[in-house]
Amino acid sequence: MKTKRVLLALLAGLLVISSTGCGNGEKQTASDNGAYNIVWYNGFSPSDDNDMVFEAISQKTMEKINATVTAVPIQSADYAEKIKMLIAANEKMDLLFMSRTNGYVTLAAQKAFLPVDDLLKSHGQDILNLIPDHIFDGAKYQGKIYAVPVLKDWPHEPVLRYNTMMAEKYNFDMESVKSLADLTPMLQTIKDNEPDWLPILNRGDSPLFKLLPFENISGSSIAGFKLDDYSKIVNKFDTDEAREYFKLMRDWYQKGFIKKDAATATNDTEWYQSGKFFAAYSESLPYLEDQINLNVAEHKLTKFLHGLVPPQLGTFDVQGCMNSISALSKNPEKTMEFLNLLYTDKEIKNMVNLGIEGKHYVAVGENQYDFPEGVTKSSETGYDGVGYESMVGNRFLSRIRVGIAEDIWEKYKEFNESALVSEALGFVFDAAPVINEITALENVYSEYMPSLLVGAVDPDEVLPKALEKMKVAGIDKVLEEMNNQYQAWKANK
Amino acid sequence: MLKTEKFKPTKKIKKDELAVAVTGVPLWVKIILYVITTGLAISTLIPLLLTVSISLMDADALATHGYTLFPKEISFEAYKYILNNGAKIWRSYGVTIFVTISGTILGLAMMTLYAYAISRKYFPWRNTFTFFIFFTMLFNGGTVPSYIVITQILHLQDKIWVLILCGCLSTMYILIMRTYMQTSIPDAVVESAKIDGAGEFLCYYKIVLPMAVPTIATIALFLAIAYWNAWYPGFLYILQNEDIVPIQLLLKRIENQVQFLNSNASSLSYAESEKLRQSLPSDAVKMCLVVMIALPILIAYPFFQRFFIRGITIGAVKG
Amino acid sequence: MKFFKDLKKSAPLLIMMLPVVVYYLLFNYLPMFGTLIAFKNFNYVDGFFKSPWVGLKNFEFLFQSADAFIITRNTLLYNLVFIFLGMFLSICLAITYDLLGRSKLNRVNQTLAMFPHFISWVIATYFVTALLDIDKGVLNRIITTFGGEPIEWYSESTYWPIIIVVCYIWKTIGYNSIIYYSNIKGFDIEYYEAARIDGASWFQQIIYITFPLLKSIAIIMGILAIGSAFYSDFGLFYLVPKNSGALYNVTSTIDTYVYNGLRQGGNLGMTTATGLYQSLVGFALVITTNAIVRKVSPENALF
Repeated sequence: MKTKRVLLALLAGLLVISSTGCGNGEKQTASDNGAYNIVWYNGFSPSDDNDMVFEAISQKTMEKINATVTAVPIQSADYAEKIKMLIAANEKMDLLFMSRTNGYVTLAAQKAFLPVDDLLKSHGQDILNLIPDHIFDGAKYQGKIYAVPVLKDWPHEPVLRYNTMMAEKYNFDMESVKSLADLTPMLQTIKDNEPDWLPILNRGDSPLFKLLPFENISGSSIAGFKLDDYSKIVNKFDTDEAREYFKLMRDWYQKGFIKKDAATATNDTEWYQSGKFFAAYSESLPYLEDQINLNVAEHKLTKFLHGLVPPQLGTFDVQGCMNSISALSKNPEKTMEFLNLLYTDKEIKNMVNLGIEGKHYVAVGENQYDFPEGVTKSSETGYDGVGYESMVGNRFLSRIRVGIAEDIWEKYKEFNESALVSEALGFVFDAAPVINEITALENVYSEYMPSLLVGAVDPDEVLPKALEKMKVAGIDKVLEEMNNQYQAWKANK
Repeated sequence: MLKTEKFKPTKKIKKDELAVAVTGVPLWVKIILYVITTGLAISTLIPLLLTVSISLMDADALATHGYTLFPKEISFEAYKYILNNGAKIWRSYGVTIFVTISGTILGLAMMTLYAYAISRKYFPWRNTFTFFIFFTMLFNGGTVPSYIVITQILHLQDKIWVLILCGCLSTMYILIMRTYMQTSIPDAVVESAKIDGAGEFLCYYKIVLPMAVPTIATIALFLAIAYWNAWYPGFLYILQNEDIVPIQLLLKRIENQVQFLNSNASSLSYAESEKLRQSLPSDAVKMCLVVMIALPILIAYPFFQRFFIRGITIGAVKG
Repeated sequence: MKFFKDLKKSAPLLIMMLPVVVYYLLFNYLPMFGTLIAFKNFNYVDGFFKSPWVGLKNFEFLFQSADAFIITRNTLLYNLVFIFLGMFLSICLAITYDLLGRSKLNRVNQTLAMFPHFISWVIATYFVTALLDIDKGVLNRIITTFGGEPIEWYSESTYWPIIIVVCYIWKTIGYNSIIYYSNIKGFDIEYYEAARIDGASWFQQIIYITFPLLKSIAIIMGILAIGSAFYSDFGLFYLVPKNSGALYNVTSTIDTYVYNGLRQGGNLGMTTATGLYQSLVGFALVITTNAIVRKVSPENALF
């Protein structure tokens, strides 16, 4: 009986707590004076002061475009799953973050977004002026723009990162490395002399293979372009480059340069934390090495080896960060005007990034910022928005953290210019006609490729088997369909 | 009429006499059985110790020593990382405790009523209603349609009710209770009560419920565990109301985010995640999360064990 | 007329059932319109009802593959083993816990056995790796100390049916045994007393009293499990073998196949179609099983 009473009391108490807790759950979203309230979903961690910051932003937007903004942050890891749900449930939504990994092509095909070609001309002129046409091409689906790319560093440059301490200790001439095979003697040295160290990191989900001159295509893990031949789409694994790579990996694997469980590993976190590996795959950006090397132990100092493949700019890259307008938006015009502001209005863009000046950050000069006294990370300020920097609008309007090179945006712009622009930029494969074959092929891929990619199995024996199974699963049909679509796209361009 | 004393004769009998039904088990058999069950327990104890141990190690120690049963140097880094959320954590524990208790009570009340009805042999539509609930076990519309119903028709998003109602009923539990009520409660008991003039509800409340305590305790345990572990309803239906985030969801968010940043699937470019990669806590945080989830339940289990006591049935029949 | 008579007689029971009925209608039956998308080319503008029909196109990918036989066989066989072996061992464990009484050790053992239920397969995979890792794994270290050759566990498919089953049993047995344990606790002790007077040994008491009394709950649990015989626990078949390609012929199930296949551009229709296919087969299996049970022992049939 006693326990019963205690339970009841507990329950009653909790009810009170929870009801008071729920009281402030209702949030003021509609504005009183009839101005349109833009609801903006984005893939970013919710912060405590989110509402406060966006109320301040709304004051600015009221002046400029007579609209208010409510941001609904969803943490990036959950975004892909949740946004589909929200769209399907007709949740009120005007602007939303979109990218390749969040299912841009699938959602565009399912008519989740508004095509914005005309809206850009009428309400987003500045965006059109700021972003080159070929970048817009990358964001197109079936000839229409369903998402506005963020103005930022677009290309990616695959590089090999290596440990400078080891390179100096053994006097490696890294500049002489022109291909992966040139690394073999160096890896051997590490293997022989440093028992605690792993010569090179590789994984079944393909890191080192990315250093080969191929461009991937959304919708298939197997098909791709060769960087030097954009006339047709090929099976990446049925090429001389791939064969050579498999042989090299087999050699490295047997010599113990690659960890034994590489084929099934999904991350290398422990290695990154200990820092005891000589080389690994990475992607470069201007000044990135400096940022990686900031405050790390001496044995972790890292350098990038450029030149194995050029910086590349393809459909994949453009679709990394974009923003779409929902097909069900009640006021797409205002939404586009707000988006336009994020590309042109330095004040608003920085409020989105950093919060309220004096409270969440301290302005330093015209272009820099620092955190308030005693704060070292953006997550400690109450408003953690630095991720917005590259997720919406014009990145180059953002204030730069004190300590980071002030000309970083200039360097990023140069980087944009330096990239090899893919001839297939803007080509999006529609998998629907061959979806059954694609499903089967993806299974063949995950059955054979991870172990081939790290050299865990003998390519002479397993590769022919894998290729044969791809044939059975319909690789020829898929490549034919892809090439037909590609030729048709090229003819229309 | 029914008197409550009738249901308490167990107290007159020593508990130990009722504890074991099968008697006369030779010592050597008992020893073998102890060895087997203890072996099973150890096979779970080692991972449990390992979990606690990893949660107390820092990344460098993990990389150099690997997993060890007892941490060489104790570090509370992972716990600090999680408790960084401060007040949020305790509020979330509060939400979870509230949802667990109220949900379990609500679920039990509804399910026992239903189970009682379909366990009555004289109820003509008992098969129909069994099938009615069973059908949903096999067929469901999927997450998206459920989401639409709950948010667009019932408007439960961002309300604590959604956490209580989602998963409050389970076909399996109802059927387990029905089976228990059919087999372990003699019809004679209920019938005699009816002859005495007791209505359905009185039979349910005064006779069947007290006699079904072991199975109700089981279901209560299962329900409470399920509520305790549930993060998916919160994940789906909490959009803006951060005040009702249950502890599991809070922990799941941390885990998801760590895993997400470790993989290449992130919408950050590879280059940007390169910066984060070295500073991310991983294994220790994951294990720390497990400790924070599993320990409260393992500690609470003996409370439920108390209800698995034989004897109540006999009392009722003899009375 | 009989209907109204029944209705009057059952009115109190029907009222008692009302909350659950309402709940099921709202939360379970109402969303079933969603299965429509299995037959549709879904788009967000037209929604569930107006999107164009595509017939059975969303189902095709499940049957066209060369692996369709392997994945179906794996899914079914593992589930059969899980249902029968898992249930048998859970019952034995429950009986054992009951037999050993209220000693401290026994209660601690019982509590600990539940622990695996609380860890996700992600975490369980860590422990499996700790055992099976090529260099650092406990098993290989034991093998090598006795002079054996280390085994590459993640590329030797012969061992995996056993590994999978052991993992499953380890993770579920403690938790599942609670159901049977609480049922045993509900048995009338007089049966046992009567048996002892007749001179039954402890073993005979288990065989002739406990087992038969557990029959109805075991049958119910069995039927329920058979309903999901076409589903597989994704974590067990994907994470534990680390999606290792060399093991596909024994670890690939319908769920992992669909997951691997739809990573690049699958759609809601195909996922729903898969679920519907699994449900339909499960439904057929349950109806059949229930019909057989009804013939053999009518009082134990589910409906």
